[in-house]
Amino acid sequence: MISASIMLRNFCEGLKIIYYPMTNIVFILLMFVIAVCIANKLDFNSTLKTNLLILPLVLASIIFLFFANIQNFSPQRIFPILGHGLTETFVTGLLNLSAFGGIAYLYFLPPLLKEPQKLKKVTLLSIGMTAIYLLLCISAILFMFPSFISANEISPLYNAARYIEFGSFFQRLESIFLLFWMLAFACYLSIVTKFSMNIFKKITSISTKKPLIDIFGLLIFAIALLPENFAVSSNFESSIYPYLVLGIVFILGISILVLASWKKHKKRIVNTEEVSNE
Amino acid sequence: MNKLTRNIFIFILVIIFIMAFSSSYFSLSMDNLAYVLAIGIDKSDENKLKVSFQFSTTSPVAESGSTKKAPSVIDTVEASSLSNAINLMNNYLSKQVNMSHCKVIIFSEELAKEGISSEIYTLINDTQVRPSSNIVITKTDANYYMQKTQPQLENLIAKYYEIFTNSSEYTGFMPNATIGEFFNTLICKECEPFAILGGVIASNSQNDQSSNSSSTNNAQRDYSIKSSHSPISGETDSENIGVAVFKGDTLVGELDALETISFLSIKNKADRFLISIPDPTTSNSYIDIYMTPENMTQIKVDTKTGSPYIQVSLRFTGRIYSMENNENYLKPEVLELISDSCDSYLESTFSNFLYKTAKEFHSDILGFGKSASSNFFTIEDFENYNWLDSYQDSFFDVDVNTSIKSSMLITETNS
Repeated sequence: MISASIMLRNFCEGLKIIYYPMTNIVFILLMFVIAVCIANKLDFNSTLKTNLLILPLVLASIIFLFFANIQNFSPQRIFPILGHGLTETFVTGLLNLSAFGGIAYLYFLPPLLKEPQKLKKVTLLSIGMTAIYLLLCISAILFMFPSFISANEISPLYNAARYIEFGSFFQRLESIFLLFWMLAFACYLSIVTKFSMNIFKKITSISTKKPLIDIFGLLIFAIALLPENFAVSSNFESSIYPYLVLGIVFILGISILVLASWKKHKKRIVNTEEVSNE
Repeated sequence: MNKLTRNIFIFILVIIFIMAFSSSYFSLSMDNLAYVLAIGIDKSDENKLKVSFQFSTTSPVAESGSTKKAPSVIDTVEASSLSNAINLMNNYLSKQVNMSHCKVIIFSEELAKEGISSEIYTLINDTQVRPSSNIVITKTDANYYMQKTQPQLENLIAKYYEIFTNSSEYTGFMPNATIGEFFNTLICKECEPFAILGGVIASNSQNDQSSNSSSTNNAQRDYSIKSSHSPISGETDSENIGVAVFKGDTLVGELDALETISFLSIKNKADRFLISIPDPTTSNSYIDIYMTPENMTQIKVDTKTGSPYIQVSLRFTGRIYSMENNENYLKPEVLELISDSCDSYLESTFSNFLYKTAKEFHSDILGFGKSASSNFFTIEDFENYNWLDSYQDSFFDVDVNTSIKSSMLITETNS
């Protein structure tokens, strides 16, 4: 939830620069927080159905962004193929796996699934789709721009969207892209809040989540306001968030898997001994 | 919370949000904005910059069918930086300068020779400036160029700025250089920036042209023109022919019409173009061919030594445009001869152009560095090779393969 709050701050900073230069960041943040609170006050199904409506739009917008910019691509920009070297690409570059931070949510998915036995299929499909869409986004940015002077939550793809033009009539499509991304971000925040509340409910064994919604909304709002400026919040995202994701998603996930496997193995040994004793 | 309290809370919240966001919408209201169509940036004697803004007026003219031209206003301000100039103009106009409809950014040659990176960075950092805005380097003052840009066939100057680069697709006389591309090439380590070369038709240009090129053939002379040195006269005094070549952020040279055709052909930016080649069947005569690129330019860069060896291969199809008496363009041997003449002419022209960019300008405006980077495994290796400086030692091998299909409508002119 901390990382989602900081991401919200970065996203809102981008919105402020582009569309709301005279509006205090507090109000832009509040728009999202209120939307998240309302979404969570409704049934979880409504959040899922909203996602079902918005997700195809976002996915289609990314595909459109990629293909509409093909004329501006320089595929040679992929070279030199090893970037800053083997170590930088394959060792330090492992931190970029934080882009797959969404995998963390899959851990909490089974109780919410109608058919938990399909988890493997859902997991593989989500990771595959994430990988494809990340590849499309990164390729568009890599092929279009030599490097970035700055890159916040919106800036690289927003810049790419600004290049889309079909003649003198069909121009300035970045506004509609921003609208889609705002809706997508609100959905993302709703899901994060939902999972956070679920975890909190299980830890504290409270009977209902309803009173938590406003508290969690306020928490997101407060954490998003914590960074003094954009430099601090973007520093969190580039320096702390990747380690957080690697720690939780990969190290913790794999550790649990190893421990569970060890426990299962131990249980099997005990069972075998019991059978042989009998 | 009862229903009434909740409704009051929601009402108060809506009011707060309306007030919070209204300032942003109010600042973007049309009544408070002055829309810039073009910005001209000159070097000033006293201060650093003299910035001219061309605005559209909202007078009710230029309706459908109207022959009245919509007036535009040019205001100029001197300031130490572009952002200060915009600020001063905001105060002068009592409106906020908005650049979301700015189509052209014009720099004077004098300023461009000293470097324009700070202005480019400022403009690209502005969310209002479109990356598709064209960038023009004028041989005269930018302000003078703007004053002389009075389109004959368009009532709206904004419409003219929107379409003025379209002719490059079928003439190849100027590139569609945009500020977005200029910025990308400016920060790129594999290529150098370029811009449209603009100018104002000089009153004695025709005389200049004839005296300067007295040794060249008439047909060839048509292709050695560039802005401010062209044989054109008309109601519109501004013209855009050629390319302004940059090394980093500094203007280092210009390309004429034929060199611009070469530039756009190798860069795959020319859809079609007309050239005059020596007629192989008649001595001292030239034949006009309408060329169409057949596929993408093949580029190979060898970086085994400190002097890059660059192989460029192009394929064209052509149709004979000019007609002479007693010609038969249906004979395969005639078409073969013309194809050969075209190949050797283009190879020589492209080769001269490439050596000019390397030896005279030291500027890789064609972005061969992008192809060269595939020879290196890491960015550090590529940076150690120092491509942008090594480019001046390049050697070129140009291979052109032209297939002359036929003439246009008339294939035989036997009298």
